[in-house]
Amino acid sequence: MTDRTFARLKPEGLDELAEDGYRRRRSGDLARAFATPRTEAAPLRRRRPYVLAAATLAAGLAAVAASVVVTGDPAPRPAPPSASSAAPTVVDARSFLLAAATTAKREPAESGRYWYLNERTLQKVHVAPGEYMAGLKELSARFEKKEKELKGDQERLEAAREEFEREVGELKRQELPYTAFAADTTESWRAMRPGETSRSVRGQDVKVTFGSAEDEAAWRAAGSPELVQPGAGPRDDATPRVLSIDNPSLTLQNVRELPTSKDELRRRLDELWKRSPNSADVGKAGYLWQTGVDLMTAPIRPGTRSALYQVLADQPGIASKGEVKDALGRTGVALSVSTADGADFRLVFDPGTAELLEYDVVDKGVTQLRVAVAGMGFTDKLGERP
Amino acid sequence: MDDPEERFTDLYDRHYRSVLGYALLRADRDVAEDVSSETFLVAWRRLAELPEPPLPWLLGVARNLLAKQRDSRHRRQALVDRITALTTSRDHEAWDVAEHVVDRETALAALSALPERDVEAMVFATWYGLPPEQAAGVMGCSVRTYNVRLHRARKRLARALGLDGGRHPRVLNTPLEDPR
Repeated sequence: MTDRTFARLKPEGLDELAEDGYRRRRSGDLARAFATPRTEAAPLRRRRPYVLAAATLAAGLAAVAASVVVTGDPAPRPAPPSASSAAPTVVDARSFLLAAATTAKREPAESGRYWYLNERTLQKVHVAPGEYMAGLKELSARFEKKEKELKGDQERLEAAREEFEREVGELKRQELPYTAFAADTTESWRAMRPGETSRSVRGQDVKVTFGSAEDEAAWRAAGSPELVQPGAGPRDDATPRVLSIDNPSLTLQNVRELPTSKDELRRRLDELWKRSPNSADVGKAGYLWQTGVDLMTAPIRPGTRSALYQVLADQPGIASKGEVKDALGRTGVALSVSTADGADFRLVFDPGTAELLEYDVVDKGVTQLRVAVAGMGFTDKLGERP
Repeated sequence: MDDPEERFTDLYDRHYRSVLGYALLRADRDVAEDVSSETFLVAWRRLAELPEPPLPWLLGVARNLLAKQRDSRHRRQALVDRITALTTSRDHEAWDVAEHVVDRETALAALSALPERDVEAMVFATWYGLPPEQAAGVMGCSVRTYNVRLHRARKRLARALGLDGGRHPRVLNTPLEDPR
């Protein structure tokens, strides 16, 4: 009772003053610190020991809510021992997203000349690029020859074309007789002003891994074909890139204008969904999550990011998978949802900053795609990271 | 997350507001902000040796820096005076007498009768939710001493607010001793 009365004595204006100070001081303080030399890691001085049962997860969320623990596997970590607060509240996927929404709103809005994105992609290799291209060349050479032979014979020409398309489709769907995964890093600098030069650097730090030793042996037996095309270095051009395949109307420039309130954003996403060329394939759940990822990796306003988390929190069927390590070894909380086409979509968030760490697509238990967002933000120079 | 700039930014984004919030309870705005900025500069220099969780350590640094202000032009202000100074009409409107038995002024007056350190103990326990081990670390005392302060603060506040079963809320006029 006394504690409750005391808690209410905290002036409301205190948090606002703190928030205001944070906004005004942040860039100057960071700059001043980075310009100051640090002492190297010295052995810890004798210091009064804090009892450190504190879970990083709980600590992160504590900033936005009470101390909380996210359920799921592995077992939730204990919250810090506390004399004053009650037992930690158990948080489900919905509450996690709502807490993330609060955090997201607090991030300062930024701007810059280029939107930078660094993604580490791990995906299942379906075809060896060299073999695929050779196969495709052979098919088209055969078709061209036939086309000449059948000149004028409209009916048989049409049948040959159909046959050719069927064969190309088959080639595309062919799976390697072994399981292999390819990882590579793509960095992109996309000009915020239309018409200015953008840059992308694909295929960095390529790494191929195999499902098992047998898979690797099978690959050797097949003549060790190259499974990933090596990167060709920086590519500069001024062609506008598609921001979201499911939403052709969204651009790098106009995502900033997306609503910052939950209801308005939901209405907007409903409209976009109706116009989406892909709506039939993945269902609404799949659409929302794919679009969510597209927006989370785009320069949307903090308020929009917050609203987006709230919209996702209202979706049925989201499950919290608890704490996981992402492809870059960072710890986050995984949320997943199953889409209409039977795939599982998984998003991994940093519980402290509410930032997207990774998105995965799992089909029938096999990870098809895993993309870790290594970094994103604004920068003013091509080739310079934020 | 391994590069120091990123780690520091993360630390700053997570905890700057909490540190400034505390400093604002001890000094006016300009000094509080300077102290908070200074605290994080210390944290940057010592980034490699920060304890986990870092917040109690940061609060401890800020507290020491504020103590140094004592003798300077900007004297450290009494906690309750700062709380009063930061209180606005919104706080009064939000205050429900029925819920708290007494009005806000009476509660604040009761607080001002407590030793400064006991109020601080309440702040760390209630506003920051720090467990005794961490709060004691911030205040530079033993966990036992901290627990004594907290217990005493709760008891006296309860008595002053008439929450201990006493018939009338009563304001203590003489400061109680602080057995440091």
